[in-house]
Amino acid sequence: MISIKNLSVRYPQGVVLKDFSLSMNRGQIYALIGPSGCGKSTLLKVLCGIVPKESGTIEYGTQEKDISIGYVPQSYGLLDWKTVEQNILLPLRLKKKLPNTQEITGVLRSLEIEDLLKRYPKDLSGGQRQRIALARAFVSQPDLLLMDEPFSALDAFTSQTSQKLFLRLWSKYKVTTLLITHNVREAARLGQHILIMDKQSGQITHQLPNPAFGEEASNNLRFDFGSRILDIFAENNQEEK
Amino acid sequence: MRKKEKNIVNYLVFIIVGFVLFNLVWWVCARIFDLKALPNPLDVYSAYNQAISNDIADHTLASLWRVLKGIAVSLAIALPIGLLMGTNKAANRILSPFTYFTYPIPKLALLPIVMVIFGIGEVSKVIIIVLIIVFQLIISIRDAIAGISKGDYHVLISLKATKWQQMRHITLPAIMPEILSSLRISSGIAISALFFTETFGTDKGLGFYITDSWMRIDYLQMYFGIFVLSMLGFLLFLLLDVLETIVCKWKN
Repeated sequence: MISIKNLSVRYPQGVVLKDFSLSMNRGQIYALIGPSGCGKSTLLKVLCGIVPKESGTIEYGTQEKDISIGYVPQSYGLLDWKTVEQNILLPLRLKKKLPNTQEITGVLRSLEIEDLLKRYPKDLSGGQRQRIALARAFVSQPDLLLMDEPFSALDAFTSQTSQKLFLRLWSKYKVTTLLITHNVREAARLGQHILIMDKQSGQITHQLPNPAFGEEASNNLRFDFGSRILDIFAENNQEEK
Repeated sequence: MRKKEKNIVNYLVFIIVGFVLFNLVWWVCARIFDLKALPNPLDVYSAYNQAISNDIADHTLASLWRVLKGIAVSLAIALPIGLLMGTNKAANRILSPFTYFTYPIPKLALLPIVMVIFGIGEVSKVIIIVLIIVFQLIISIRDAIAGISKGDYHVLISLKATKWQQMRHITLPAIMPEILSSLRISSGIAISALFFTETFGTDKGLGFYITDSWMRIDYLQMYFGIFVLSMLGFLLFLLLDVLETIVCKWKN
């Protein structure tokens, strides 16, 4: 279990998160959706250590400890001056760990990027860059994978393919994942649990198990579940007014 | 033809076209003005035998060594200061006014002071070159760091990379194209400064060779000296281009 307790973040222009709490079971995907400006991206940045927290704790299991993070930002965060291979191996290099060739080949094969290793990011398509960012996050096998709208910059077809490849890889490693998205259909496909965040309170108002998770779920089921999420949004909006 | 070979061929064509055009303009000017002080390029190139017996190779090596020392020292000073200013707001606030204030001072005007303090030997010559190019390098490095996207650091921060690792994997490689570009401009300025510094206190160097020939009204040798000095500048450009293709492979 990964528990975030009473997390508060303050920017110079004001409080962004206040007493935010969330518990995540290990080996599950949580899709967090909420309106713009509710603090979703800030939450990920705090968990990554990019933004300092004002107060609160992040516990892994029963104790507070430094957890290893895999982060896939919206812009993928690939370094232009490193080849695909160097980008993917960067987490291991920073931690001075020797790469497990077999493991890495498995990740590359799952994401269908084994032919791109010698290229530079500028020579890749958006979908390929996105998959390289996923590979980089998975090779270090983090305690927690954080993804900030990772599929939003892709066209519908590429996005669908990338989501399929992500699920394929995730089912192999079962990394605890917190995914932020604006897209209800994407959340309904990728999240085993849907977290709905409210802008007014900055809290999670609903946490729903997702019957439409994964590749096997029917489109109808996903559509119905998506409609339910949209209804909750509408209710939240109504209450705010 | 492979892409790499094609690039080399294009580059060679670019150099040859530039050389031919330069000589054409020179030749036309020589024909129009018809002055003893402006000989045509073919006469100048034919004077190579005399230049060799005048030890032009020694003069060229002396100049090359001075300019390389000037550029190396400038880079060694500018890199840490530029990095400090680019990464530390407080340091930038203190050092920026100083850099901005000293940048426009005509450094050649400081020559008498430099000569009084360091003498008229080698050190003064290198110091003048350094004074002329170091501020420009510092500002380029600082601005290049300011241009790096903050997002580039986020993944490394999430991986708990140390400050040194962030510097090694992001800051230094990201600013390398700007450093080389700034060095390219600086090397041209350094060559001009080199000529000036070699006109006094030495009997070695192309600056000396050119002025000496001029004093002896040997225009062919004077122009030969200018040609070799220009080639020296061109060689530095070429070296920086080669360095860029090696260090900034990702840009090609």
